Amino acid sequence: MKNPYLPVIVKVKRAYFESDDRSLKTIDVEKPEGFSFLPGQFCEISIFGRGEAPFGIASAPSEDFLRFTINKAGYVTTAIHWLEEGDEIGIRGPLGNYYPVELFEGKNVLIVSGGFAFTTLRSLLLYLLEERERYKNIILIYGARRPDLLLYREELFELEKREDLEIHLTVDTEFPGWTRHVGFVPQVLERVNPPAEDTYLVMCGPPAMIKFTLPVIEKLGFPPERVFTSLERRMKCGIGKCGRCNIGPYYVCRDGPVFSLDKLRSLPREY
Amino acid sequence: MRRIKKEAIEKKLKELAKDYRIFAPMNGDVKETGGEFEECFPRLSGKCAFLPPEEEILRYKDGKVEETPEDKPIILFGIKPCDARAISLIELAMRDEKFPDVYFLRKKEKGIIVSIACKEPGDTCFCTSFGHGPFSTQGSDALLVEKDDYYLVLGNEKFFKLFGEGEEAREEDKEYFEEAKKRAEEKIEKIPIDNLGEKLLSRIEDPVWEKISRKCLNCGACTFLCPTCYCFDIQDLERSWGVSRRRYWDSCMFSIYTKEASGHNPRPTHRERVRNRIMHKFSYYPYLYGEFGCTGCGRCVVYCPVNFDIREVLKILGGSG
Amino acid sequence: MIERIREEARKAFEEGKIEILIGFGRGTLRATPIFIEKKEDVDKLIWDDTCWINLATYLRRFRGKKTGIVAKGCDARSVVALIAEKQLKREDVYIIGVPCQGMKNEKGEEFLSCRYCEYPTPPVYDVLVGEKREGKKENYPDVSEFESMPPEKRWEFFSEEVKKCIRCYACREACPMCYCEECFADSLDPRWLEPGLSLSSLQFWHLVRAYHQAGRCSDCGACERACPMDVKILYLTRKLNKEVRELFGFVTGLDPEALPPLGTYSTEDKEEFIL
Repeated sequence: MKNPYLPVIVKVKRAYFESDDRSLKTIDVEKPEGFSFLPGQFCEISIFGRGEAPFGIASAPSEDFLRFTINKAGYVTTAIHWLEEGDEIGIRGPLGNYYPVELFEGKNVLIVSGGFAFTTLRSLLLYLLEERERYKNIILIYGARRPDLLLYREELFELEKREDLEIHLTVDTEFPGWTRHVGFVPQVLERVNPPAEDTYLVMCGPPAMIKFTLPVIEKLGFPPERVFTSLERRMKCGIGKCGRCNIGPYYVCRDGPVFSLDKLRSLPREY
Repeated sequence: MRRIKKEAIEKKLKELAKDYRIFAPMNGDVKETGGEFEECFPRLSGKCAFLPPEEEILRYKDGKVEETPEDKPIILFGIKPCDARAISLIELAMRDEKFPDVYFLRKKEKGIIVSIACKEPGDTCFCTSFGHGPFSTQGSDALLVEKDDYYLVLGNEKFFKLFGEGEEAREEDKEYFEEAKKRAEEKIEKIPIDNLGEKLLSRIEDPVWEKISRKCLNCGACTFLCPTCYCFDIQDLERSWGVSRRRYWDSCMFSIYTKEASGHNPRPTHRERVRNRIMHKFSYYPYLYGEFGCTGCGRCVVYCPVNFDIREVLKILGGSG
Repeated sequence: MIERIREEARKAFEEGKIEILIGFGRGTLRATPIFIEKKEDVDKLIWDDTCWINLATYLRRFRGKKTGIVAKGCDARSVVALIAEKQLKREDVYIIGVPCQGMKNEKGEEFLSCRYCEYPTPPVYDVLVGEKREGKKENYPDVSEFESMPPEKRWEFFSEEVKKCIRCYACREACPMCYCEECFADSLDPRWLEPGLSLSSLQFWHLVRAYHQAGRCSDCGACERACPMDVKILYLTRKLNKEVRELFGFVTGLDPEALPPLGTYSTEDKEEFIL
């Protein structure tokens, strides 16, 4: 029996702040031998002495490092923010399920995101772009409160130039030097008005964004079985044993975090 | 069925204490003893042998991760059949192809569970509701029934190899067994549980949950004493030599159980937490593993400070109360 | 007395004084808390010697609503203590005061805090449903007995008791004064105590919880009664209440306007322990 509680030790290759207020930090770490995953999965990161916490993998499966972007919110995340190049951490993974990329083949993919929930969607976007011809239209709508809170924006500005990809970046209110969309994500989604036919929608964002985007999704005619989201929960074991992250009979760490909307509708409203 | 002299078993148990860790009821709770045991209905159940309240799951020393070394195998002796059943129910959740809980499973595989049948059930017991009862053998390597200075034994190879086989049981022993079993089962209340899982699921947003859960204090008494509850927390402890990562009994009743670092709590009030506990034991568990996550031992009824009675609640939710 | 409780409850609903009433009803093993929202249900109210929970612990859940509570002496003092700490408004609580005859456990033995109870009659109430009862005079024989033990014996007694604890926090949740959003025992930053059942963690938990009750505790004993492991803890809180009385001349829960002694500073505060 392999012990699923033991982390592997890896070194931090790069560590840098994403946002001006230093609330968001990205760390790129060594990828352990034989580590293979699909977009949507997460790892439990250990800072020995402080604890473990789950983070979505933001790097693409083909990249030679694992990327995580962490918001400083509590005990473990504060310790992660102290990390610098050369420090060691433990990781356990890949855990959880992944975005159903097999279903997306030959279809349009619409990605809707807000704030720092974008992490696993970077993984998904890059994964889809690697074999671009397998998918039809790919559209990304991604918003944040301010430009400096948009993750990986330099990379996204580059990707904007591509012809085979439609990217709509937005910030909540006017900002000096910002020439793109202004408005909340649900508003921009309505403005862009993508067709629902033959399209899969993947959505990740803070609870407030999800709450106001769901009615727009319904209005545009996306059926719940073609809408996927990634849920967040307080997690400890990450492997469906400690009992705390369940919604109904499903454990978000093991049977999720990716769920389709129609599956969520059948479960108690505990999110 | 075999019959073994009580003396012989007690003596053997003390001998085995050299190579095994013996857990048995003593002074009202199950604890680690040197081979002594008391016949009683223990308050703290047998789960503490295989899932201790505090257990180290790894060490971080000199930059390396070390697995906690295994200890001596365990003999859990003298518990009630409901507690033995409960441990096999916990095993259903711990056994997993992809992510086996190695610590629990290793202990369980090498361990032995010996239960003593309940000839005098309590008035809060309702174990027969789940198709088993005070003389159930599920989850035990051996079931002992006291008869004068003998134990009548229904056991497996593992048990007989360690404790000896004694003699073949006599006709009168078998009759005594059946009599005592029937008498004990008659005393126990049977709660109607047909289709309970589905019934609960259909009532998940029903306002009845608010009424039922109002008096719950959200302390952890029921969960810590419950023989089938297994939720745990994991925390790191810094020591002079490194870091010890341990797991501790936790409770879904605590308000901070699901509270996220952002402050958001998907189960913010007593209503959601009580609902989740009841749904988990009586709806999700049977959906996932085919068995209810409750053995009807009645501890939660006896020790709840506000007399929250799961029997009453199940009758109301099942639509017959 | 039961009839008077029901009568007063019915009147309170009829006169629109309360929207919800917290009282005791018949449970399967003993009296159990019930929550009444319609005057037709007041017949479910009972009163006997198994009503040992402190119902004040539920009041904060119904803030904003006009709440009635069937309160014995110690419960009413807890209500007053909550009002003094600005957790409740006096005008939102309607106290149906019950002069208490004392509570017993399942073996029929009187609880310790009832044996030495000084305030069986609620000192503050909206209506009283019986004859006022006299309490014992100021009297902490249990505490004096503990104080007479030499320090090593006291520490040994305390350690042996807390070893039984499993940190289920039934004591904390049963207590009306333990309402902190984040209890110090759960705090990670700073991490005041480690999780688990090491002796030092258990000692820390009980000692500090007792200290957090000083000057706020009404001696209701719900903590010790709720404990499933029979850990004795009352002697700690009662000792601290005795000290608060000696140092500050303050008894919890008699005056809703009085400021809690550990929450204020007065130039008359005794200073012998410093000077």
